[in-house]
Amino acid sequence: MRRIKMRTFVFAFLCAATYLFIACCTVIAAEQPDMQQILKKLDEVIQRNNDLAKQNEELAKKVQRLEKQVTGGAAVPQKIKSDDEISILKERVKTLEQQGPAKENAEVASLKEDVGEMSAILQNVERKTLLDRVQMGVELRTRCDWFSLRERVKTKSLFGKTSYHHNSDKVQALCSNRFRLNMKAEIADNLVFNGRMVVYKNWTDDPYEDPQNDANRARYPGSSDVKLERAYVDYFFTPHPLLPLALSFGRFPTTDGMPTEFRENTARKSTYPALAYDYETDGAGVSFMLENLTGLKNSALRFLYGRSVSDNDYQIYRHADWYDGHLDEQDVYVAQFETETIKNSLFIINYFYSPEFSQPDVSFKGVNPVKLSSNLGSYSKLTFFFEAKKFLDSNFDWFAGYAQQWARADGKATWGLGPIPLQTIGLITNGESRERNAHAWQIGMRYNIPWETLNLPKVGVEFNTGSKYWLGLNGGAEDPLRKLTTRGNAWDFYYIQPITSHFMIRLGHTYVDQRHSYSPFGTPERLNTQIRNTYLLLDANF
Amino acid sequence: MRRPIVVFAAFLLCAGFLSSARAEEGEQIFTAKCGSCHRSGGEAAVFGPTKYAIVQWERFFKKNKHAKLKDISAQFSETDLQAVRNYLAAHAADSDKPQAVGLR
Ligand code: HEC
Repeated sequence: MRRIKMRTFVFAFLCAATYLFIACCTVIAAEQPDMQQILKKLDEVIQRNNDLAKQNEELAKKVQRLEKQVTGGAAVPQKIKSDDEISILKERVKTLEQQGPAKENAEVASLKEDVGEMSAILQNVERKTLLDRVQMGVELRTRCDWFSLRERVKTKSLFGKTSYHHNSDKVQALCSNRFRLNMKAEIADNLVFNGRMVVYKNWTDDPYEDPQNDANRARYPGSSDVKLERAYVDYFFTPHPLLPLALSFGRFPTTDGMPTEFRENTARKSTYPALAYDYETDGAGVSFMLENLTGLKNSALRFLYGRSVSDNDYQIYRHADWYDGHLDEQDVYVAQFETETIKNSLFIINYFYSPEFSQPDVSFKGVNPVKLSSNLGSYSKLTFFFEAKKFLDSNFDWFAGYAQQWARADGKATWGLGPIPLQTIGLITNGESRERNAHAWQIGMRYNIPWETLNLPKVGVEFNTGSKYWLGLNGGAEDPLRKLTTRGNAWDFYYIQPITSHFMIRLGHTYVDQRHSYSPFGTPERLNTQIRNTYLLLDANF
Repeated sequence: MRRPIVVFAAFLLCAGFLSSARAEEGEQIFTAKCGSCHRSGGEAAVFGPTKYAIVQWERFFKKNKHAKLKDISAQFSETDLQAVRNYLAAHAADSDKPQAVGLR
């Protein structure tokens, strides 16, 4: 019995122990999450402690930095002595952060935004600029001319008695517009293009056939003509450091020859002096810059070649039956030395040579060529020219030029009705073989009036004279009387009134006294003719 | 008639070679002093007056823009800078330029 009791007791104890164990295990298992949270919290506390330590460090650094900014780099106490000091510093950090760097950061951010925006815009602007290969400029001139002519004419009466009488005539207020579109492109560092297109016309002048007229010219489908005055390219290269070169080709700047720019109130606009040549020319040439070699400022030696054909309308090379006489080529060779001597000056020696002067390209109604010659003789001209602006630092600009011409007439051309000759011409002759030497000279000055209130106006006077056989080669000149072709004397007076830097007015008077008739062909006839021109012009350049 | 012409031609020749041209002051300073840094292989880029238009040069000097790139005030007096400024403005990209075949 006792034994059973003992057994029962052990069993009960074991049961209770097992139960307790299971219960404990269950309780422990149930308790497990709480433990994890505790561990986590512990971790967090440690982390926070670390953070606080870091913040402390940073705070100390920030304090140092801000103190530096505030004091401009003066020493900052390193040790923080008390809690009070820490709270004071904290307070200061707060205010400094609010006032200084925070504000600065906002500004920097906004600036950054602006810069980003601007560079996006600039990309477009730059792209547009890069695509704008050609820079354009405009010159617009309106001028009105009042011409008058007076000539003394010799007449012979039926009975052989000579008498003289005077003729006079007037052209009142002939007005014209001249529009120039100037172009320039710096294609590369050493490749430059220059060009100019022009419309030059009298006010509502009407050379067209109805229903087109000048007043609907631009509004009517007609021709595609645009006049091209200049279009040339300069290629600069330096085969030897002492001798930079330029190769040029195209339609050259050979109009408005020097000293035309005095009257025009511009910089030099032509390669040649006007006394040598003032026409448009096509050709090719090479310039040697001599400054490095000679030490003479802006000195250069230029060789230019030009060629003209009179009448290529038939394009004879396209036809089987080539015949003579339609393509009259004329070659022109020019050698020019130029240099600056005294300050703002230009000295030029120009030699012009045309070995075979060709006949004029004329075909009158009812008159036909009877016998033509593609060579009427040779022609050469040597020109010296000098101009100086603000001469010796004064208000005077002046110029002078002299040209000597040698012409050898040799050959003639005849026109007539059917086989009957009516007129024969040669180079400055009526067909004879002759020397036709001549000379011309010019001189002039311009005074820069130092009146600031009147925008520094200028007055100028010019004189030129040419001998009997003088051939000016000035068909492209700016002045309507082509005064440099005069076989006789010519005077010119002008007043320039600048209004703004882009607008000026010129008032001028030209007087030409012709002693001989002028033409490259035919013997000059004695004349006693005076032509005057008074003009007013308005110039806008931009 | 012959003699006056010869005299006139001789006069022209003399006037031409009377004295050799010297560069204007502004240009001299520009080439010598600005050019001491602004040259090929130098400290700064080569440039000419056409780098800017007239108003841009005026602004460059008026606002002393060079100071931000490099302080050059020690090398240049006020009159030096004025002369260079005049030279650069007179030959700026939009100034009235001489034109001829083969002319820069
Ligand atoms: C001490 C050397 C030094 C001198 C002298 C000097 N410069 Fe500079 N210049 C520099 C440097 C460096 C730069 C910046 C780098 C660069 O643009 O090549 C600079 C840049 C320039 C720029 C370009 C600005 C830009 O935004 O592209 C211009 C224009 C300029 N200088 C004009 C002049 C002028 C005018 C003079 C004479 C009055 C002159 N410099 C004299 C060193 C000089």
